[in-house]
Amino acid sequence: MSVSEEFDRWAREGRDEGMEQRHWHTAKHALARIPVEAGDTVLDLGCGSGYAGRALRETKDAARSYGLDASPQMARNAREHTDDADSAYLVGDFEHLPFEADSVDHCWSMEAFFYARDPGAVLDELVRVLRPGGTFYCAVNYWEESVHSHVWDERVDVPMVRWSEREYRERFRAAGFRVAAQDRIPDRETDIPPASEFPTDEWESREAMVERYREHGTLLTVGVVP
Amino acid sequence: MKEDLMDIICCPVDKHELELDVEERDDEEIMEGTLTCTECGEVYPIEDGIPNLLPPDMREEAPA
Ligand SMILES: C[S@@+](CC[C@H](N)C(=O)[O-])C[C@H]1O[C@@H](n2cnc3c(N)ncnc32)[C@H](O)[C@@H]1O
Ligand SMILES: [Zn+2]
Repeated sequence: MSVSEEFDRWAREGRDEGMEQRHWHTAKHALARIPVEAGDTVLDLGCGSGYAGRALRETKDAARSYGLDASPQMARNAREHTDDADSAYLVGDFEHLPFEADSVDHCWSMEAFFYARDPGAVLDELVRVLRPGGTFYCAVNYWEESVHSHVWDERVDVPMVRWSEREYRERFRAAGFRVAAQDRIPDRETDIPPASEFPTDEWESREAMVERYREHGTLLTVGVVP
Repeated sequence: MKEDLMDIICCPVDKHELELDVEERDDEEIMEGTLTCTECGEVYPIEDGIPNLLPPDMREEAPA
């Protein structure tokens, strides 16, 4: 199935808002770190419900935020969440960015990068569209060291790329980024039931669930364009 | 979409400039129209205020 079709289905089922709620636990900490200045143009790749662009407009006074998603239904839902014409949404493919060179100040992406068929192409495109000094804040909950996340690829009908932390750094550098930071942001908000309630439908043991959320959390890799 | 988006968008395939044709406006936003690549001639639709700039091979045909 194509990403547009798969995520159109998710969007029709209203799953974009569930993602927003779950991802916000760690996304808000990462978004707060992006060095957006008043007047900047920011881009959100695979924006889903579009919450990140709206947050950067509201909290950091970005002049314009653009959310790009391959699913037309996601973009329609995202647009309905706001009356702000400077929080805009586009349908597009992050491997073929419809933006001119040096036109964007900062880029954010949460839980979307690994859906790329060619992740190197996404990084090349970002190095092209970001201005010198521009950053890419790439957040993922699915990666090699986060062992409990590995089962997810069976639940989604599109292929997923599973890099290690080192591969993220190496591939960012190979595309022309400097790696400014990489760390794991723990999710301290997802409710973890007492040990007596395990195993649950999702989790064998409480330890595994604690490791997934409180220790692995979200991997954030920050690339800067020289 | 607002017209100032034209400052930064381009054809996703060859990165050339796009030409805007407006069919319907609502205050400051363009609701319906097209974006045509000045190089390859590909026509990208603007529907319900949202430009669709997927490369042609990823864009599904709109249901009849
Ligand atoms: C798991 S959702 C995450 C949405 C949102 N960033 C969030 O944090 O809730 C992944 C999104 O990436 C989008 N996506 C997947 N492949 C894409 C591509 N090649 N180009 C643009 N968007 C894509 C999907 O349509 C989907 O909306
Ligand atoms: Zn073109």
